Amino acid sequence: MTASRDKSGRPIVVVTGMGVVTSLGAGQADNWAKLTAGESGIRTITRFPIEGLKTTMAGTVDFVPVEPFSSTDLSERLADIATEEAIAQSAIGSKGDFPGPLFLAVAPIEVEWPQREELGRAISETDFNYDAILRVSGGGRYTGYHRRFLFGSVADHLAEVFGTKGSPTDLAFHGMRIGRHRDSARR
Amino acid sequence: MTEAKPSHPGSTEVWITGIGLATSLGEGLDANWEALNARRINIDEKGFAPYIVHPLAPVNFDTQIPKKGDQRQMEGWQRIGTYAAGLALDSAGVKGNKEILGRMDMIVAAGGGERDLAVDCNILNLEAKGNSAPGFLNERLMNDLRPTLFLAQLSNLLAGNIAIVHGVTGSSRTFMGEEAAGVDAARIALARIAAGQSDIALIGGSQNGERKDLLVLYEFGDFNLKDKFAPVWARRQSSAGFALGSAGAFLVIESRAHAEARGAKPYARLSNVVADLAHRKHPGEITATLEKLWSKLGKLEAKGAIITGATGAEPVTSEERAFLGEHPDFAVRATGTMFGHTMETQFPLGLALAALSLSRGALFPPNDPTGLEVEMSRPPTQIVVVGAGHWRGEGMALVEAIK
Repeated sequence: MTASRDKSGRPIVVVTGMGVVTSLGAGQADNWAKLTAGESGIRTITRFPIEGLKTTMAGTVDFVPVEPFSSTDLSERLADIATEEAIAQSAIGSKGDFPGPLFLAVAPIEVEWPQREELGRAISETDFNYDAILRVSGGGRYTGYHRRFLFGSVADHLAEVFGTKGSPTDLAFHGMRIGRHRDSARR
Repeated sequence: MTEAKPSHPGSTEVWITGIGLATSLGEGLDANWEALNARRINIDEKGFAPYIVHPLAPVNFDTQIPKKGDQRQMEGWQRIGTYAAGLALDSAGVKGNKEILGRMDMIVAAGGGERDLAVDCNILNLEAKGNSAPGFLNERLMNDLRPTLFLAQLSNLLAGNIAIVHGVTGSSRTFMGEEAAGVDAARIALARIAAGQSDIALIGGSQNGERKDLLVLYEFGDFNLKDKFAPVWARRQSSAGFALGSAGAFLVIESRAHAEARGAKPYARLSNVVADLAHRKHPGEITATLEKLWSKLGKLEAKGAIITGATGAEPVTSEERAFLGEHPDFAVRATGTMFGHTMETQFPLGLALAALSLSRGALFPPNDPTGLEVEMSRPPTQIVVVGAGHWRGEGMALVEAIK
């Protein structure tokens, strides 16, 4: 039997389940097959209009339908697919009852253009400013957008669906290369 | 050091040795303490009418962010946070100490970047006039946005700026997720030091509450306090909600051994931080979760104090009121009344005010016409910090006096 603790007496941590969705495909099998066949997920962007953009290629997940669309809704859907696969492979807990906490790395979240444009269309005046946007935002018409565009929204959803325990922790994609970010900011 | 690594993980005592505050009440500990004791509240009822916000008191950013170029490439919330972080480092006596800063860990609770309101409105107005070609939005964004805007908006650039301006270059984490992120920043930093994985950490958050784009997000859920200011406990269903506040709150926490070895004077002990996520599907779940967290804090003496980040939003504030009703011998203070709701920053702010109160040997006075907050005449020895998010997430901390 293999030891369950390392030389310093710390528990050895093992991976028992994985889930993955990338521009190559959904699931470990699909990704591994395409990866080992030398395929690339990088292709012309179709998820949004690229007219006028210098960047036209990316590794986008463009085969998972989300309606109405926002990148946060897509993130949430991808997280669902990957989490389902990981928990199934691990065969741990039961449906809606994962026996541990959730740690999630997410991209920054904010109100997006389709929703902002929806607000713009709800305004009857011309040459309006942000006060007009604020005036149409309340009153219950867009209640769902509050939850949708909170930073905690995806983690909140996963915790509820998969029954993870305790407070979910959302980590920002981290700036290991902060110095380089800064250099480009200065240029 | 007076003590080697702990004999068993989790046994290390953790002290709060630095506090940095930049709020609507003022800059620094004395200004905030004096304002709290004078029951002062700083609100702007006109600039964002009908919404009420607690604007940042005037501060001289140059004193903590000497390079104008650094200030220019930051958005407001990053300037406030970098400034408050500098104050915390000063307060801990580690500012400029390259040896310590080089291994100081940092956990920041951050929100998101600020929109360019003029660009947004211009695009929406042009679209309303019929500009709907597929490339129109791209063209406007490419031409109208400052190229640096995207980087200035990234949540983890607050930690990045603190690293660059103050030289805090140990490990770095950024937590997101509104109020709960502030709880997690303290919880994880404490756990790492208590387990002997870290000696010293900088934790905190910042918010610029004077933003119409942020008001829009909370207006979707009708959370903004409108028309007339009322203290948190006086906001009932008809006026439920919060007034956004601008604030930066940072703390330096370290193991007792590390603090003693460098002769640092503690403000207080950070004894425990706990967090949970009530489902909030049925009435009473938040109350029950708060009660559960309370029972996990450790031994609580009678007649203590509670500093809460209660938002004024419903139903969470009523559920918290029910929880507080179960502990009537504790003197309660709601920071939302004086500082507004500072979201990710509210829990670190509560920790800072708890440590400050313990170090000054007094709880600041009540500021509440409803009578829920009562006077506390004796010096507090324990203060429980409570944070129940406006939408999700509950957290609690125990901060204790060092005798």
